Amino acid sequence: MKKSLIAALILCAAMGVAHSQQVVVTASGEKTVSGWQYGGALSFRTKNQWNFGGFYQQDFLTKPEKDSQPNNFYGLTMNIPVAKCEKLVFCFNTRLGLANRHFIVLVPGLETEVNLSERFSFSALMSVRMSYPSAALKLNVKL
Amino acid sequence: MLNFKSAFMKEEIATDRDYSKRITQQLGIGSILIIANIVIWIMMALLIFGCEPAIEPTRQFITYKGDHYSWPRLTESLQSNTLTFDARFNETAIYDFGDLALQSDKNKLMGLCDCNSTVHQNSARFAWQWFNNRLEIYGYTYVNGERQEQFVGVVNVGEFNHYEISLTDSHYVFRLNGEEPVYMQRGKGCRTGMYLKLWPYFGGHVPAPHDVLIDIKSNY
Repeated sequence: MKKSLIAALILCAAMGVAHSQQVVVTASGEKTVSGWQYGGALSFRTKNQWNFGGFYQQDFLTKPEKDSQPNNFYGLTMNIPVAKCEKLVFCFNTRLGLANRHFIVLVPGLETEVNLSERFSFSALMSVRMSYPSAALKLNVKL
Repeated sequence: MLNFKSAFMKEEIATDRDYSKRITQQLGIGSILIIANIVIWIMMALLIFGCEPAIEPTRQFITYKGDHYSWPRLTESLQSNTLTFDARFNETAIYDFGDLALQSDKNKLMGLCDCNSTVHQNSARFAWQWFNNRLEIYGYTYVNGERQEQFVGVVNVGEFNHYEISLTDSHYVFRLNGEEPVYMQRGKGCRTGMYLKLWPYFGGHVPAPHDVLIDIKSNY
């Protein structure tokens, strides 16, 4: 499972590099039903604004009863643009990965990206995690 | 000269039409973007900046008379090694089948399917029964298709109790209200995969004799 996940990540990265115009580094914070999580992502953006990459996030504050595990979530992320104009991109977001090393999780969402400048952009992501709505804010830096 | 003028005017009108078409298309996309954005940003603001907890994850499950499955039907996967929840039964959990064998059928409260397994292959659930005029709670598992049951404790009707199922490499660990844990063997299957949560189910063999209501507050 681990090997196939790594292989998929490499494949996505290779596809991304082959077609990408930009490498994007993202810092994010997400409010879920279980509390705040923070993390980051590294992704490749194609000419058509499709995004492929990997992400990692974990609890902002480890709860005392959960201190044996960091409650993390990592895997692959993909953005598919639905509509775009000069300053805004509206897209479907999908995250597929592992929570706490063993638990496969698929998280669908809707993301709006606001371009602040050529290098920086800001995103708001609404998704469904643990069957409840979650909200994430992201700061993207195009390298 | 006149021909040239009319041709020029036609071309201009055609260009105008294209332009207005483009504007209309742009307005259409723009409207979708604006509406979607407004909805997303309002929901974001409510979720992130709301003073009250945004979500109170308590659900009421109802098993209708004559049915086994409860409503709402949910599909949710486990995301950590421990499933914890609070549950409250009310007087609808009291029933009398007039037959000891049927009365001791285990009704299922909540639990999980183990890694990529179905419920009757590998699973762990809390089960309950109204027996001897009390509400008894059991650990109820399937390990490689073999069923196991073990008594965990007794709860009162009308109050919330805390339930916990932990997964270790070799055991399911059942805890009720933080009391002494009950260990039940776990199968040697995969460890990385999908762990679906299981929700209330009445029976056993006999369906619900009347509507049965259970409040469950999931802890995440």
